[in-house]
Amino acid sequence: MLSLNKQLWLAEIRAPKTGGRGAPRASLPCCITIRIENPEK
Amino acid sequence: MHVTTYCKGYPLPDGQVLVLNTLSGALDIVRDEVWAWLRDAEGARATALAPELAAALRERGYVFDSPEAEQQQLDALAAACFDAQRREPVQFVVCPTFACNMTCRYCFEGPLTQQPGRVMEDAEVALAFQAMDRIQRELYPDSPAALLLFGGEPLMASTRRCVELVLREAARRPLSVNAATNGLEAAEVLAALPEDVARVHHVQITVDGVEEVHDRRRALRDGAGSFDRIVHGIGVLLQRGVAVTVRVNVDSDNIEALPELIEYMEDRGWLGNPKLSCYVFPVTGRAGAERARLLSEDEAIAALQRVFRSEGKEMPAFVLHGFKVLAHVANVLEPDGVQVQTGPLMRYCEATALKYFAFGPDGLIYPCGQTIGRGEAYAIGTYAPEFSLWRDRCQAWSGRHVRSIEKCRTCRIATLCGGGCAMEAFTRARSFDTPNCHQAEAAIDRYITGWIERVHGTV
Repeated sequence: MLSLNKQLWLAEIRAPKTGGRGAPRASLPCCITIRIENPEK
Repeated sequence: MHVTTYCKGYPLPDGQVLVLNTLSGALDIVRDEVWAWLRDAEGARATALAPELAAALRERGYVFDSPEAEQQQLDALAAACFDAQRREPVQFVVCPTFACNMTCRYCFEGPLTQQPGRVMEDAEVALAFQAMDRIQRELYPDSPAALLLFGGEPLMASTRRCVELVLREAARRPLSVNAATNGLEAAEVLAALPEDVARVHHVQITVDGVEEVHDRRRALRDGAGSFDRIVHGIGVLLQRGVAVTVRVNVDSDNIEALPELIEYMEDRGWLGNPKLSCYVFPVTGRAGAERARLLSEDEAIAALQRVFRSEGKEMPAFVLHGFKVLAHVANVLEPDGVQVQTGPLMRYCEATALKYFAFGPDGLIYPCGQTIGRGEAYAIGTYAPEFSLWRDRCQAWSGRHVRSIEKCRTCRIATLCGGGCAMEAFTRARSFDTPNCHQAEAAIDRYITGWIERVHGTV
């Protein structure tokens, strides 16, 4: 079995975050106000 | 032992299967006999798995001790999502006016924007900010907040004074400020503001195609084209260091012209500019849009895949950012693209977490962008002359999630879809307790099948 993502949702949500991106969004903003979280990338 | 039903398999050309687990978020490639075991096809589960594989399937969320254990996992995921959502920013939205200086033919706000439209007065701006302070203090003391200027069109000569006042109030909190604007007068209005008000650091501007395509869809009120002024404005804003998100609204009228627009954006150096991002979103048809031109999400994805393939071009990853239902899968399958941050969607959007509060010049507070200006029937409270949040309305919005909607409880892609847009569901069924499926599963299937064809070759 080849896993394409290592971290699963529950662990991802619960894990302390680094790098300034904050907790994962449980929902994206509305289509009208979509924000790309890392526009500098 | 219980094997989850929250998974879908997609055959790969080499005989293996790409499996998407919508309970754990796992994306795995397994041998076809493992997929057969998971589905228990032709009695495959009678054959025991190797211990390492059995352990891996448990770890990745395919196998549980019992259906109850699977349900507990879903409960834990929902609780974690709701908890994370409580800490997310509150989105305050100020609409200085419902009027607009353009007449885009598919505008979801419809005739509202073509009326003379009053502009918020100074006292109303002050009351709106008092309401924001109270909402944040009483409901979300631990959440940061941000401000969005919206409308109608928020950035016009006629709204400049109001915008200045709003930005002055924002600077006092302080709140970061974004604007959703058509871009026609945005650069001039922002340039005319004093230095000591809050800076608008991010604007979203819609460009629907190259000049001829854009102008037939997004005209000025006198029918003249808007393309030249808008792209000039985008250039000016980028030069001033303002981040710009270009939104492309697509339907069957313009979707095939998207590669031409991307080429134009490349030629102008926009796509290499770290301050510019772009996404595509299918037009929705709530207010008199030309319904025959509308595309469902899976139709739009199929058309985009076809258009880029027929031109022999690679589809940039950002093209699919607006397709919320794809966000998690695309993040995993295309990690080199800009990652849109998302986990499972237990709720479709921040409006259904009651974290969106839009203040219109009519004194009402609206719960989502699609409800703005629709009057009391769609509002959740008032801020002028008095502040009041209507408890029942607020609960109707905040209580809508994939665990509250009966059909979503048994849907295997509900955690990717979030139950769909609440406003669409309400408009169609007059109820928040129905899903708005918007071809979500077909959209996921279409995207993954296209990815497999592109990356692994045709099945």
